[in-house]
Amino acid sequence: MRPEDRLSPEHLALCGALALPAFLLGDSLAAKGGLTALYILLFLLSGRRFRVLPNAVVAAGIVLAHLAAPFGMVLFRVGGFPVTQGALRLGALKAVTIIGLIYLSRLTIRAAVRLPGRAGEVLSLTLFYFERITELRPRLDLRDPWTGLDRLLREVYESSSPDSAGAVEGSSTGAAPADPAGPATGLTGPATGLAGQATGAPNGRASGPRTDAAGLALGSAFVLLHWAVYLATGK
Amino acid sequence: MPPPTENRRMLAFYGAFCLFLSTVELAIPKPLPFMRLGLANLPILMALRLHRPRFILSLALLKVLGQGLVGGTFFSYIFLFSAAGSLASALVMLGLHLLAGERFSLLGIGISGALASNLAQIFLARFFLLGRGAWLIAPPFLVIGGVAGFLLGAFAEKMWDSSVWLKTRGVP
Amino acid sequence: MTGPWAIRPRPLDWAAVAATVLAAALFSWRAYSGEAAEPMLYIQNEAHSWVYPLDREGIFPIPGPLGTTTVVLRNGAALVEDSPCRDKLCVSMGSISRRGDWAACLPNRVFLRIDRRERGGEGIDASAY
Repeated sequence: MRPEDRLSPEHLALCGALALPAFLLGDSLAAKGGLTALYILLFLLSGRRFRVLPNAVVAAGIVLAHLAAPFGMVLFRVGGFPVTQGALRLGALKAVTIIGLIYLSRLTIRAAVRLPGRAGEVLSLTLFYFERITELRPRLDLRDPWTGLDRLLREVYESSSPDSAGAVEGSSTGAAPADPAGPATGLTGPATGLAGQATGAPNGRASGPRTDAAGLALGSAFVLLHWAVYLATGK
Repeated sequence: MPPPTENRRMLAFYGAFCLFLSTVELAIPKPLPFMRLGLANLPILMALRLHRPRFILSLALLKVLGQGLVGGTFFSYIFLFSAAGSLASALVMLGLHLLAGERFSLLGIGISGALASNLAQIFLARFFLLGRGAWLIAPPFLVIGGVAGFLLGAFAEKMWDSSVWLKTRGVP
Repeated sequence: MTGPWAIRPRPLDWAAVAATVLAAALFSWRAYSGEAAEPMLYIQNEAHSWVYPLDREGIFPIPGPLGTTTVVLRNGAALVEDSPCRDKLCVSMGSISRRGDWAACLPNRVFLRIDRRERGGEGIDASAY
């Protein structure tokens, strides 16, 4: 059983929220790089796919954008343009931060998390309909996408009553698909497994794992690790 | 006016449609990272002529929250950029629709929404992500965003003309 | 436009197109010419060189054969605050802020110059001083 299976979606999100400031506020490139590597390792251990190329493209883009505004000691020149230490470090730090936040998010946020009140109710219902749409695996004729889309809307709306028994018992167990919203493109198609993260029945009953003692210990250790790293290296 | 539960159901349905289109967009190759074509704004465009401002703004918020949860990007800059772009776009589209009504088609509203979204994200990129380098990618972002907004607006106009669902279920 | 799309633009739609084109043009000017003309502070010693945009504030210790020359960048102007030379002529040069301005501590082999970014600091040549 994976660590995230020992925490409820709400507690998992709380771990992420508590770890987030320590990660974000730190200024040490080595520390952030280490934490980001940890997130990616945990992501891989949870059975999900990590695509190197899209992340590398994003990181390279951020670094290059910062190099375009040089400051600091000139390390070398490319066609007369100075590549500077300050810009390179800042770009690398930003890139690691971006990638790290993405994977911290993906590790700790599950679609099954319940938000309170009316917002939570509407969100649950939204994910219910989303699951219904993806279940139908719609095929749109590119020559006349409007008809196909209209048919899809009518079919889903008219056939999906939120009151129907067991309409969607949430299937979320933390099992997540391949990197669905990666920074670059050409990833999983629309009907691949994102529905597996959908929430429970639209009356707001959440599904997914519940927190046990081991989960609580792991979650706490995760958060404490972040703050320890920040206090040791943050400023 | 439908009972609150029907309105909530309609809001959730539009929201789900947004999420579906955002997953469709993921499958489309893009020339630059972080670039979004804005397909998920199609339901907002469709809803503009049928629903009240509060519904439109709730839909924009729901779209952002839903994308953050389903994509698991809640704690990342992606969420921040998505929120800023979506809300800026929704506010501008709604404002133009309310103020200029018949003098705008969904084409112009789509283009304006795309412009607002891209400007919001460019300024966020300047101050939080890319520094001064954000200015370098701004022109192609704006051009591609404008073209995407135009196409989306045209698609929405055609949908408005031909959709049976909008003519029947879409009316509150 | 004919065909399945049947686009029927209305008057203000063209205003939206114009606004987008204008925004793209303004950002293009800013990014591809404006930035290149932005004045930068170039600092050089015998071994290395540094570059800073004038709106970046900071205190930069620059090593030389006699010790450390302290360069301060503040409010869009740069000056030598302190240097290990005997006469402190570099300190009395005051601040530089316009393109072409320069200051130097010759004994400590530290040179400052304000130049356009596109020039890339190519104008600094220790032997010229």
